[in-house]
Amino acid sequence: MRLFVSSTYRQLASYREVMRLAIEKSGYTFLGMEYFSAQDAPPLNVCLQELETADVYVGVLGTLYGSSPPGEELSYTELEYRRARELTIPCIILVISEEALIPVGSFDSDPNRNGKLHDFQTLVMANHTIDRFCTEHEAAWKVLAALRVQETRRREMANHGAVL
Amino acid sequence: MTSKLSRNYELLPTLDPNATPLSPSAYFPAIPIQLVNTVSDVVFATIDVSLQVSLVDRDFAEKMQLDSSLKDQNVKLSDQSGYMRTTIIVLEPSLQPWLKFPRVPLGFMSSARKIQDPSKVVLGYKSFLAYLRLAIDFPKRTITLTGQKRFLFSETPPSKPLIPSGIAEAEDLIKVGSYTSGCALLVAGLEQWLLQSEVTLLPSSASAEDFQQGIRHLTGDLSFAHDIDEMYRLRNLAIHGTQSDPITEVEARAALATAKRIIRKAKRID
Repeated sequence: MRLFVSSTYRQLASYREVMRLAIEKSGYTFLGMEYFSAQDAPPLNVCLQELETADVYVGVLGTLYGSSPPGEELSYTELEYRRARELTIPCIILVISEEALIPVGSFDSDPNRNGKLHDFQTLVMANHTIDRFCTEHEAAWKVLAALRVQETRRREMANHGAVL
Repeated sequence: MTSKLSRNYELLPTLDPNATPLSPSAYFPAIPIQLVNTVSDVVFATIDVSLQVSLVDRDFAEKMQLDSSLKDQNVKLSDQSGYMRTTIIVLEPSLQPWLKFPRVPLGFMSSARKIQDPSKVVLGYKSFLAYLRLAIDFPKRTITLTGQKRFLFSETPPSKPLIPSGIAEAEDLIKVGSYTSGCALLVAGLEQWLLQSEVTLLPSSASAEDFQQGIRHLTGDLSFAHDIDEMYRLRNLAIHGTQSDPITEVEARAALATAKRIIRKAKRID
């Protein structure tokens, strides 16, 4: 199963790394910016092309909205999420807990960007049952737990279809 | 109260993708580390107590230019025989530096290992885990690492640079006015330290000329060369010279300063 992990990088690099280890050690394929090499295409195109090959979208939201492609209002993370929804790719969403230890400087000083982050969080919470995380390890096991639930449902639906 | 020498880390989960919903999850130990030339990157290295030597992914090592000696020589890791050395900093669960292990040997990962373990670094027994005590608590899914005081990472540099004992003794002699003995002991102490520090790769049977060449190569600074020659001239004068040719205080102090400068330069390279 191919998992596309979507998040900001600067704040969540260590969380992504632990998630990558746990995902790959579980036999899944991790798709993420860590494996993108230099290419002759804009980064957004590269991200979305990679997303189209994924079986599951994993969105990890921290306290930063993230950078946006030139000419776009929305961040890379939000654009990836919206594309996953368009493609009806199953989504697993984790949002950082208020109790997580966040270093000083990990909040956007721009109120406009904070507003966008709030809107993005509201959007994902309206569409999905999200889970919260404090540490890297917690994020990793919650992703794997959510995957287990996804796979179980998929098997049940496949078995139900076979019976019918 | 947390002990300064012990830290608890959570084990990472892993799932068998073919497992049934009731199958147990597996856990493996991985701890956050930093490699000395990649200060901004945190790597989660897995622990494998059955591994003799720690391993690193070759592409990762080459990309990060982990081996500082290779960086200056523009050498590709693929040309190297099979291992490299770098300093590993073990981080606390909060990702603050905790322990520092200098010059840890790292072998390059085989393709078979890469498939088995997706980590960029796998920590093995020799030169790393052997210095730690590990305790895995499966019900709590934690691993406790207990280190040694001598490996504690300290951001505060020592107020006085640490100098070898031979040179410290020479300094004491020069302070009390024994310039001749001080200069003789100074160079002997420096050469002994260079042999032990593995910086110049000189054999124990190296001659004085070999040492001078080795030090010049080490420092690589032509403006320094005159000071090195002067230091050796004073050493020769101290051992072979006559009473009518005394070494002055100024000369002795200059030789001492040269020796300390060599040590500082060598420590930055190491």
